[in-house]
Amino acid sequence: MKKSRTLRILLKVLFALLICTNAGRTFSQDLSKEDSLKNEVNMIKNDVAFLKKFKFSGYMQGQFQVAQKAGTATYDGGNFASTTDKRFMMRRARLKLNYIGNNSEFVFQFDASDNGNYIAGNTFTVVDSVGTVPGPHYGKPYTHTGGNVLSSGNGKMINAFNIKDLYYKFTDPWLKTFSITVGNMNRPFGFEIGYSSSNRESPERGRMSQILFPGERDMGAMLTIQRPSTAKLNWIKIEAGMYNGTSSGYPEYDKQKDFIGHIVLSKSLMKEHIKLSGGASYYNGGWRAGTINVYNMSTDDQAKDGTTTLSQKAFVLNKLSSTNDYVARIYKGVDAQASCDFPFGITTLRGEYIWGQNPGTAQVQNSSDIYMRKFSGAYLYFIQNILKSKNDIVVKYDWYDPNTDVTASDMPTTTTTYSNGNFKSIGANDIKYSTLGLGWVYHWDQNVKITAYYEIMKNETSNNLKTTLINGEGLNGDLTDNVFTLRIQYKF
Amino acid sequence: MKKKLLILVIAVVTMSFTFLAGSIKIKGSDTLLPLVQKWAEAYMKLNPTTSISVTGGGSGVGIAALIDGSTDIATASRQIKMDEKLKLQEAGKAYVETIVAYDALSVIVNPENTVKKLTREQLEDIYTGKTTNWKDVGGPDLQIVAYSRESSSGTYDFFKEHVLKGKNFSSTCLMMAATASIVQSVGQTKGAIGYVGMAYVNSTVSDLSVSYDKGVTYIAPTMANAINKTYPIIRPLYFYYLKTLAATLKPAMTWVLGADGQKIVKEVGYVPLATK
Repeated sequence: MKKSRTLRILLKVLFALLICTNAGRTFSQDLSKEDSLKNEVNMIKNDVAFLKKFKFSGYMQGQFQVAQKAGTATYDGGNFASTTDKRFMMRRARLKLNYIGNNSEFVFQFDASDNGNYIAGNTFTVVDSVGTVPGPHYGKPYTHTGGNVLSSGNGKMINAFNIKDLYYKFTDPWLKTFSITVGNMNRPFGFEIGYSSSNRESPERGRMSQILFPGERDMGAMLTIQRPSTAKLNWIKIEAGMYNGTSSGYPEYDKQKDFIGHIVLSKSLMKEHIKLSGGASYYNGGWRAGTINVYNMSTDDQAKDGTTTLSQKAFVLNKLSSTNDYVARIYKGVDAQASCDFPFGITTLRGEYIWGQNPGTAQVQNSSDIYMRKFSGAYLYFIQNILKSKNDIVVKYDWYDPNTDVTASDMPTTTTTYSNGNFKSIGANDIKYSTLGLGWVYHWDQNVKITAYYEIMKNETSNNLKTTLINGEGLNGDLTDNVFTLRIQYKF
Repeated sequence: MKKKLLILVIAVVTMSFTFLAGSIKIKGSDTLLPLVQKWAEAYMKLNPTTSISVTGGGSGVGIAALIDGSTDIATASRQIKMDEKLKLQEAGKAYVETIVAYDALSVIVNPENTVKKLTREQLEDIYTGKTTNWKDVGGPDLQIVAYSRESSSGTYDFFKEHVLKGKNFSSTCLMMAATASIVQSVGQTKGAIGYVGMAYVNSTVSDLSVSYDKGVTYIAPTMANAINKTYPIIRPLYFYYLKTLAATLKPAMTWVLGADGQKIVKEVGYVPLATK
């Protein structure tokens, strides 16, 4: 009896020990399962944190355009071929990769569209010789007589694949105020240059922006000063950089580097119902003379060279001492933007005015004489969201005067030539253009946007330019060159 | 038999459909987090077929999620900014703004701190770095350790605008991602000071009475003082959602703004709507 009782107690103790051991093992198994799960979660979190440093974005803009006339010369995606007034095109197809480090960023963006595919047999306005419209000629075609080889009149290959942004940016880790950006980037001038084509309400930048800043980008290095968002004076941003001055994709060919600077102030008011921004820009660059002949616009109504006086305005020769001399390219600009949140929808107004002197800005060194012109141009945007719906209406007016020293009434007859080599005639390239754009934008969703936009182009006219033909029309009347664009954009 | 089978099939199908009914994602303000979590629990109990997920991150994070479509409701302790409005317009998204409650902002210190009250001017001097020692405001000889929310937070924006009168925080302020972190840090650091929504105050910290009339009267951050509008640091709390979801969210919004939802507001420590 006593033995069986002892045995029962022993068995109970053994059983209890067994339970505790298994419970302990189960508990430790649970703990190790929990630890294992925690480790896995931490690993996944680390992987996600690393992957979140990469950001892919992009957009495509397919469009259909109708011009008033076949062969229309336009800044809406390049001139129409001489045989058509309608076209489909993939205006832009961009893919952008950002890698965002702790205090640094790497950006690579390219464009793969049919922009620049010039096909043999098509003839366009010649744009690359002396006396043509001053300024760079990005997107402007040429007389092409070869096969289906893509080349510019200046011998530069224009590929259907273009690198747009290729730069890295480093910000100081202490004050988080000073950033250095190196590479191919948007020039820090004004507002429209840096404003993404995917956000812009009109299909294209204004004529002035396209002429003065072809491709928007240039190779260089830029310093940005802006306090962090939590700091005082965060509403002031200063950008200043040195660039090649040849614009994106063209190699540097002279010693002159161009300075570009921009200061912008930005504030929200009335409890985030109004946002105001404004800036001032300055461009100081140089242009290596291809020859020693620099023609400056006469300031008198009767041009004179010291011995001869003409009866009209003209360019007057000013010889340089050497072809290694430089002539100045100076731009100044002011810009302002205002957005107001009204009960009937957000109203946005934007404006920019640029003026300066322009010696012509071809992307490659050429052996042509230089014509110095004072220019001015501006744009004004009015964008109204309709009753907080997906619809916006857009009205834009812009003008570009390539030579503010002359008007249409100063134009000589096209046959005017001067036996005195000290004078060169003004002409079609000194004509002022203005554009009125009317548009409707429908924001389908965060990815898709539809734009319908009609541009009415006006040019200065002169009877003396009757025989100066653009697409078969003289400049004695307003050219038949309005364009309608219907665009669908996909953005991600 | 066939009839019973038919009834069974109908019942199963009906249950399946009810289990497929709505889910709501809510993201944003840390200040609103305790309140929204309580709302979600209570609402889901009443509506078992509705699933509600709630995450914080800050008012700015919530509104960004609304813009990119990864949340149904963005909660915010500040109003939407103009840049955010423009991004919503660019994305073709019309939004609805609704005030769902009010929040009194409490200034908290470590329980061992002998300072029990401060004027707005003293708070401004502390957070802008002018005052660095508690003895300068009647307290012990102890370095002030100021805690703040990060700039993506609506609480940060509100404190900066209403207490600092737009002045910038000192670079010596310690920026914390979450309100709970501020409470924890202040509770553990003798010289610490922080600001949090009243609902987050617990026994590990002490809250201060505040004067907005240069020390003439000091008002404690209590529910009674928030309701009777004498406590000066009080702000609206917002829900933002897209107009396209207004019909879907209407039952939930009606409940939140109704008597049951507002009762929970008071229980959690916020100021209900009807009293402002």
